[in-house]
Amino acid sequence: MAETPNNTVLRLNAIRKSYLSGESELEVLHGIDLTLERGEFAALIGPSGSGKSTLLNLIGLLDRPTAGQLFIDGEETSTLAESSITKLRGQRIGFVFQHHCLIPAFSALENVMMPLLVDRGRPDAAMRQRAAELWQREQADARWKQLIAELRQRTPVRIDESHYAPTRGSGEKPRAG
Amino acid sequence: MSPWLPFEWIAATRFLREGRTQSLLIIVGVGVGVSVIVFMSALLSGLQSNLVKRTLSSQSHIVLLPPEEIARPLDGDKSGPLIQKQAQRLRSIDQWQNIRGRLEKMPEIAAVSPVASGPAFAVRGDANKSVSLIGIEPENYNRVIGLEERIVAGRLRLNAGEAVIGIELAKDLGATVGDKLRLNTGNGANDTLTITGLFDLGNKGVNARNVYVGLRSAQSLLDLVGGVSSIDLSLRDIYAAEGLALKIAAETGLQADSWIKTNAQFFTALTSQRISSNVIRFFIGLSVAFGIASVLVVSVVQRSKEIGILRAMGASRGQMLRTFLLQGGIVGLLGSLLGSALAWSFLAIWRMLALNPDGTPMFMISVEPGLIVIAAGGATLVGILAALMPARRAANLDPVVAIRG
Repeated sequence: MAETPNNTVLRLNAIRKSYLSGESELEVLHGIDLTLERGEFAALIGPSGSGKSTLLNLIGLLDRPTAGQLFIDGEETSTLAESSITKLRGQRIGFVFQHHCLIPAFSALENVMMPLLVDRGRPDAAMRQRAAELWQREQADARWKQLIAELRQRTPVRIDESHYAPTRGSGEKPRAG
Repeated sequence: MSPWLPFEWIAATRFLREGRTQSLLIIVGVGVGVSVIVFMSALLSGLQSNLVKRTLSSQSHIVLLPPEEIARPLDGDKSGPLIQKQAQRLRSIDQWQNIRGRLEKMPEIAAVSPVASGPAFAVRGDANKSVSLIGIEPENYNRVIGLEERIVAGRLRLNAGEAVIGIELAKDLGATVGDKLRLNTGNGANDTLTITGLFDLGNKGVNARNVYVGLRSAQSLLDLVGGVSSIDLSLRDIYAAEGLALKIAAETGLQADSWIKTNAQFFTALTSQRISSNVIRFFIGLSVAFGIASVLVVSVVQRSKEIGILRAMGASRGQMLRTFLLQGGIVGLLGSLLGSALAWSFLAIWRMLALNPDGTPMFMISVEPGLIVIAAGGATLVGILAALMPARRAANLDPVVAIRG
C-alpha cells in the first residue's frame, strides 16, 4: 500500500514492538505515531531503556514492528519481503552509528563506496568518482587502519552522504554514483 | 578493486587477505590433506597397475574354453542312481573360426588369439620335465600377452620344428638358444624342436612350465588337427573382463573365464586395497572440511559487526551467503594447488628412494593431470560445502544484534 507522494519521508502509525521475555511478552513501544517531513531535523530524547534504539532500528528497517504501519517515502514497509526491505534500506536510509563502523578489509574510499557497491553488485568508475568527490581532500586509498584515529568522527557521515539519506531529511534525490 | 569482480568476490578475497595468518594456516592444512590424498592415490594406482601388469604378463584377460562334457542318462532311463562325472578330454572348440570372426568385431576386444595347448614332457638327455605345450600364432598372441617383449635370448620365431621356452626350463634342462628339445605328448606323439628363444614372463612357475610352439605344430602334437583348445582375448578395459566374459559365454555357449575370476583372491585384495584407500581419503576429506568450517565459523564470529554494517548498508542475505561460500571455495582451491605441488615433491623423493638393487625404479608412479584436476575440483567443492554452515550463519545474522556486537 503506497501513500500519495507528498513531502512526508517518514510516517509511523501506531507502531508497537514487543519482545518475548521467557514466557511473558514485554512491550517496549506502545503505539508510536510520528511524521517527518523532508528537510526536517528531529532529535529523539529519552531516558536509557525507554526504547530509542528500538524505534531507530524500526525506522532504519533493521527490525520489524510487532504491530502498526511504517511508511518510508510513502511506501508501506510491513508487507514487504525481506529482500525488498534490504533493498529499500540500502537505497533510502543512511546510518550514522554512535561508534565508528567501518570495514577494515576495505580502504577508506571503498568504505565510502560500499552502499553503492552492495546495491549495484560490482564496482564501476562512476561509483569511484562519486566516492572520491565526497572524500575530497583526503588521501583516497589509504587503509582504514592507518587513518582510524582521524576517521573516527568524520567517515561515518561521509558514508551516509555517499548514498543520500532522504529519511534524515537531507532533501537529496538519489543520484547514481 | 577490479571493476569486473562482483561484490562477493571482492569481499571474500579481502576478508581472506585481512585474516592472512588464519587463511594461510588453513590453506596449508588443506594442502597437507590434499597432498596425502594425491600422493596416496598416485602411489596406490602405480602399485596396483604394476601388480595387475605383472599378473597379466602371462595370462590373457579372458580365456574361452569348450564347454565341459557332462554325462547324461538316456531319456526316460531312471535306473541309474548315480551318474559319474565324465573325465574331460582335450578337444577343440567347435566352429572356432566363426567364433573368432565374431569376437574380432566386438569393440571391447583388442585382440583375439587362438591357442592349442595341452600337457607334454620336455626331454633333453636324461632330464625330463612336465610342461604346458602352447601352440600359438605369434603375431596375434603378442597382442594378447606381449611375448616378444619378454624374449631375453634369441627371438620369437615359431616355424615348424621350432620352440620358445622359459628361462627356468632352460636352466632345468641345461639348454639354450639353438639347442634341441624333445617333446612327448600323452597320446604318444613326439617331435624334436630347436629352441629359438628364451622368455622371462616375470613368473617363475610360468618360466619353468610354458613351451611355445607354432599353432600347427601343437595341433599335430596334441592330435587337434585344425582345432584349438582355447581362444585368448585381450580387452581394451581390463576391469570389464567379468561382465564381458558372461556376455560371450551367453552368446557362444563356451566357457569364458575372466582374469578377475581366475585371480579371485588377487582381485579381492585389490578391491579391499581400493576400498581402504577410499575410506582413508574420505576421512582426510572430512578433516579438511571440518578445518575449513571451523576457521570460517570463527571468521563469521569475528566479523559479525562488519556483516551487520554491510547488511545495514543494503547487502542482502544472498550476498553474505555467497561471500562466505566463496571463501570456503577459494581456500579449498588454493589448498588443493599447494597440496598437488607437495604431492609432486613427495613423489619425486619417493622415486629417488624406492629403487631396485640394480638402480631401476621399483615401479612406475606418476601424477596424472586428471588426478590434480579432480583433487582441485574436489577440494573446492569440499571447501564450499564446509562453508555452507558458517555462510548461512553469516547470512542469518540479525544486523541489529551484529552491530551492537
